[in-house]
Amino acid sequence: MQRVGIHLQVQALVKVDAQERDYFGRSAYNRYYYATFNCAKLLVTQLDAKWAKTPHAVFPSLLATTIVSELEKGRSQAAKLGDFQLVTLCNQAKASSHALAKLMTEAYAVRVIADYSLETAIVFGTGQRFELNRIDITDAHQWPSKAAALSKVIADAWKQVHV
Amino acid sequence: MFDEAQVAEFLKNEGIVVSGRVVPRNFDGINFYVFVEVERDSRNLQQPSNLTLNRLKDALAERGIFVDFILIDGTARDIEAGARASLLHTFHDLISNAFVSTLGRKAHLWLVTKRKLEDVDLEAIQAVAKVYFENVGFELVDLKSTTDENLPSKTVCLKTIRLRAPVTEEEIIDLLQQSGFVVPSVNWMSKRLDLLRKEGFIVRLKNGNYALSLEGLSKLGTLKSRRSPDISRLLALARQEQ
Repeated sequence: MQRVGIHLQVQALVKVDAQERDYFGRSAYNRYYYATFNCAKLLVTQLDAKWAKTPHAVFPSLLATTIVSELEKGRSQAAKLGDFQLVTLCNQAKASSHALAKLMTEAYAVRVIADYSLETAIVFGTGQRFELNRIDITDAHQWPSKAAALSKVIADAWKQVHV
Repeated sequence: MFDEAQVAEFLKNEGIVVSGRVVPRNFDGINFYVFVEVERDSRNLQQPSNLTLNRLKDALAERGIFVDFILIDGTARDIEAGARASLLHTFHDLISNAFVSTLGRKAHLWLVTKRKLEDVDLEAIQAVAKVYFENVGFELVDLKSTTDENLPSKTVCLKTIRLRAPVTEEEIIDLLQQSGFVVPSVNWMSKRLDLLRKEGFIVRLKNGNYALSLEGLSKLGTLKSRRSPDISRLLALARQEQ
């Protein structure tokens, strides 16, 4: 999905027709969002199979409240055992979960604009950059990689506290 | 009932400049995303502040309108891009990507590395990152390599021993590996078990098997739910008997 996003991003820059540039550009945002969403979905399903069908809009609250609260319970138990390595990992995973929640909120909102607000046009700047509603395509390009990095930390800590 | 333009107007009257358009969240007419561009004042504090934004969020909620603010923080974006460029330039043989998250003046840094980092590598990266963040007015509170091996923690080792005690060292290693953890070597495991024994959490029986001490059992605690460790142990022992 991320590779499709990259392809669309490149196409948006090489197209000559303004409308085509806009369509390819907004489609790149859409694909980057879905690459990010798939990564987050894989994570939450791995944590608990019952979260497999979580609706898109619910992901941020699942990550920022339910998952953080479970990690906090694990952190608290590790602290009682003097397991400072796990305490640190849980703290890092909580920060990762908050960051992923924030990322999912932003990416979802931009995807809604890309798909449904055709009147909000892609703005092409100089060089290889363009933006949608002030969100630069280079930021969107990083969403899936950032989600994967954050997910790894959350999954590692979760595994440690849910043996 | 507000529409998108009225939400923007309400916020404008409160001194908040909406960036781009207000976005319907579920197309239900009451949930919206609002993009707001934030800046840093001379004290490096975010403007408008989260306090102000939360107050406005509550004020709108009282009118039956629910908004999520999405902050476009140019400074934070520049800081992340700067950290990435700086670290990838200095440690191009170690790091393939870097991400930053900021809250207030505190910064968290995640690294995607090309190989497992030695302590000396991590210290060098930390030193450069610390200076970078200080220069841009932030404090680096945490740095995490996302390619670390997931070694079993002390807590995991204790929970594993509780599940099947009395248990041999080889069985502990097997159980940990079955749970998806990396056990670097038998020597690594022996040292970990020795440490747990010295801390009083486990005992080594005369036949060489390991079991939890009363202290270990007490500190681990229990749960009164379907995930109770006592039930898990009973089931594990029953499976062993079959």
